[in-house]
Amino acid sequence: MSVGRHVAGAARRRVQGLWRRTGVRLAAVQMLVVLTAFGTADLMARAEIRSANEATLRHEITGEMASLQDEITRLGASRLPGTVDRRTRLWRGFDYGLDGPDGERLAGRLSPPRGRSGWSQVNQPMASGQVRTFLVLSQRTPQGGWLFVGKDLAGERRAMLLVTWRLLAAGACGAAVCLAGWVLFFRSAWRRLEGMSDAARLVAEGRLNVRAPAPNRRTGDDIDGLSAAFNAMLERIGGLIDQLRRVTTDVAHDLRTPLTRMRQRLEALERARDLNPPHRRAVRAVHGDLMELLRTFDALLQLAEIESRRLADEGIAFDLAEIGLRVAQAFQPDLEASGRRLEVTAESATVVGDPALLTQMLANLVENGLRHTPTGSVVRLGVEARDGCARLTVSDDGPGVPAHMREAVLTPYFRLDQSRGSPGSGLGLSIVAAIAARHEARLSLADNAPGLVVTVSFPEPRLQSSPEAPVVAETGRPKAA
Amino acid sequence: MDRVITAAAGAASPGPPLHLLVVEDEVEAARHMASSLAAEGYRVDVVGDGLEALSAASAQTFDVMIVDRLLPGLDGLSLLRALRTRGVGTPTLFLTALGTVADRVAGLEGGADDYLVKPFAFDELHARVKALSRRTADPRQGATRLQCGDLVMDRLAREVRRGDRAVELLPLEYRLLEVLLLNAGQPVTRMMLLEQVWGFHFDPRTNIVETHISRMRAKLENAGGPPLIRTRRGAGYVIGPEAASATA
Repeated sequence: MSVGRHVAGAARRRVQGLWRRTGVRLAAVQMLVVLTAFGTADLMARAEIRSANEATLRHEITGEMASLQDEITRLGASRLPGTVDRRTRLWRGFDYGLDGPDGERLAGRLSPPRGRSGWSQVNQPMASGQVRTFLVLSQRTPQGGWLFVGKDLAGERRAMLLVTWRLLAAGACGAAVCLAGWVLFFRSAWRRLEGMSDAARLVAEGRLNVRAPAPNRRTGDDIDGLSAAFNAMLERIGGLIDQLRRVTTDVAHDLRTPLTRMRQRLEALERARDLNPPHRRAVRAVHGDLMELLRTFDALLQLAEIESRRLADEGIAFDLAEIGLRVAQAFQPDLEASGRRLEVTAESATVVGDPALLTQMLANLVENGLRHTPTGSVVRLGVEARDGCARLTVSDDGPGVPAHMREAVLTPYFRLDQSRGSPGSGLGLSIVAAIAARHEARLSLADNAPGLVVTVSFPEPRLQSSPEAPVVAETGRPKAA
Repeated sequence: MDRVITAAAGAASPGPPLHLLVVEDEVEAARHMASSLAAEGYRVDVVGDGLEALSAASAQTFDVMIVDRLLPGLDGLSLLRALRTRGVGTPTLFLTALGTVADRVAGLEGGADDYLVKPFAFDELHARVKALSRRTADPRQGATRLQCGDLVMDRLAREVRRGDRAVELLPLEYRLLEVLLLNAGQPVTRMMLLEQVWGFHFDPRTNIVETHISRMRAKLENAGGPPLIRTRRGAGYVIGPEAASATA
C-alpha cells in the first residue's frame, strides 16, 4: 500500500524532525536517567526483600521441623504420619512429606529429590496441574526415612512483584514530570529557536523585513539575548542591502543619463552627411564600444537585482520543458550554422519561479556551450523530473573546465582563458549561479568526460502557503522590491 | 508651460501627423527625442514635469505618450496610474534608466504598453512608437487572414502560402512571420522580435534573430523575385512596401 507507506514515511520524518531538537534530546536523556535510577532501586530493593524474606521463611520452616522432630522424640516415630496428616489438614502454611526407610510414602505431598539433607528449592506439580515452587528443608528421621517441611514461595513472589510495580509506577511518574518540565520549559525555548531559524531562512530567501519573535521582557533569558542580537544583525543586513539597492539605482540613473546623451549624439553624428570615411569609422567604433560598455553595465545591474530580489511570493508554477524547447529552438539554427549540434531531451517538469529569468539562465548556458567548444561539438540540453523535482542539464564535449576551476568560473569576471579579448562580459555564469540560487536550486559543474556538464537541480515545487506558518514577525518596513 | 516644444510635422504625407507627448525632465534628451521624432513627421509636445503631463494628457488626446519613469512633480508610474484611473487609455511607452526585471514588471502592471531602457537607439524608439500608434486602431490585430503581396497567412488554419505554393514553417518561424506581417510596412527591431517571438527580455550575444530570418527567407522568397523581407541596417526588418512614416 503506497498510502500506508507514505503515512509511515511521514510519521518517521516527523519523529526524525522531533529528534533533531535539542530540547527533545535533553528530555529523552532525563527520562532515561530517571527510569534507570528507579530500575536500579527496584533491583536493589528486590534483592534486599528477597534475602530478608528468605531468612524469615527459613526461620519458620526450621521451627516447624524442630517441632516435628520433637514429636518423634516425645511420642515415637509411629505417630508421625498421623501428625503430618493432621497438620496438613489443619494448614499452618506448611507442606510436608514423610518417607519410610525403604522409600515408601507415609504422609504428605512434598516429594523433593531424596538423599541430601538441608535446604533446597523444589518445583512441585500440584493436583490442579500448575507447578509451584517451595523452599524445603529435608532431614532424616531416626528410623532412616526422610522428613520434608516446605513453604510455598508464591506469596513472597507476589509481594516482590508488587514492589516492582510500585517502583515502576513511581519511575513513570518521574518520567512524566520530566516530560511536563520539557513541555513547559523547552517548548517555549524551542518555539523561539524555531522562529529564529524561520526568520533566517526567509531573510536568506530575500524577505528582508522578516524578524525573529521579539524578546520576552518577562523571561529575559539567554535565548532572548540571542534573539535580540540576531534581530539587530538582520536589521543591519537589511539596512546595508537597502543602501546597496539605493546606490545601485542612483548609479544606474546617473550613469544612464549621460550615456543616453552620448548615444544620441553619436547617432546624430552617424546620420550626418558631411563626415569623411575615417571619421565615420571612428564614430561607429566608439558607438560599438559604448554598446559593449552598456552590456556589461546591464549584466552587472541585473546580477545585483537578482541577488537582492525575492522570488518566493512572485514565483509561478510552469513547465521547465517548455522553456527548454523554446531556448533550444531559438539557438538551434545558430549552433548548426557554426558547425555544432544541439540535442534536446525534455520531459515535463514543474518548477516554481520566474520564467523570464530561467529562460535567460538556459540561454546563457547554451550560449556558453556554443562559445567555449570547438566546431563539430555536440551540446546537449536535458530537462527531466526526478521524484517530483526538476533537473536541468546542459553538457558539451568540448575542452571542459578543470576540477579546481569549477567554483571559480561562477564568480563574476572570472574567465578561463584569462584573455580579455574574447567576447562576453565574464558575467554569464555568475548570472546563471545567481538565478539558480534565487530558485533555491543546486548548481553543479562536473566533468562530462570529455567536456563540461552543468546540472541545475530544483527543489520540489512548494505550494504558495506552507502548512506550518513560520513563527516570525514582519516589520513595518516596505517590502523588498 | 515654457518647456513645451511643438515640433512641426515634417514629412509630407496624407492624413494628419500623429501627435505625441514626450514626458522627460532631462532637457537635452527631451529636445533630441523631439527633434528626431519631428524629423520623422510627428507632432511632438514635450513636458518636463509629471503634474504638467497629467493636466496635458487629460486636457487633450495624444496618439502615443513617451513617459520617463523618474520625473519631478509626479513620477512616471504614478502619472500612468492616475491617467488610467481617469480613463485615459493613450498607448504609452515607458522609459526607464533601471532596466531590471522588477522595474519592467512594475511599468507594465502600472499601465504601460511597452517599455524601453535608456539609453536606446532612436530607431528602436521610433519602431516602438509606430507599433504602439497602430495598436489601438489597426484592424490587423484580430484579423484571421494576413496578406502581403502574394503571401497569405491563414491564422485559423495556421497555413502560409506564397502564390500557389504552400510554405512549411516551424512554429517559431510562423510566429516570426506573424509579427512581421502584423507590422507590415513598418520596421520591426531585433529587440522587439526577441521579446515578442522568443519571450527573451535580454540580449543574447548570438545572432539568433538573423539566423532565423535568413532560414525563413530561404523558405519564403521566390528565386529571382524581389525580396519580401528586407533588412534595414540598425532598424530591423520590414515586410512589404514601406509605408510613409508618421501618419495615421
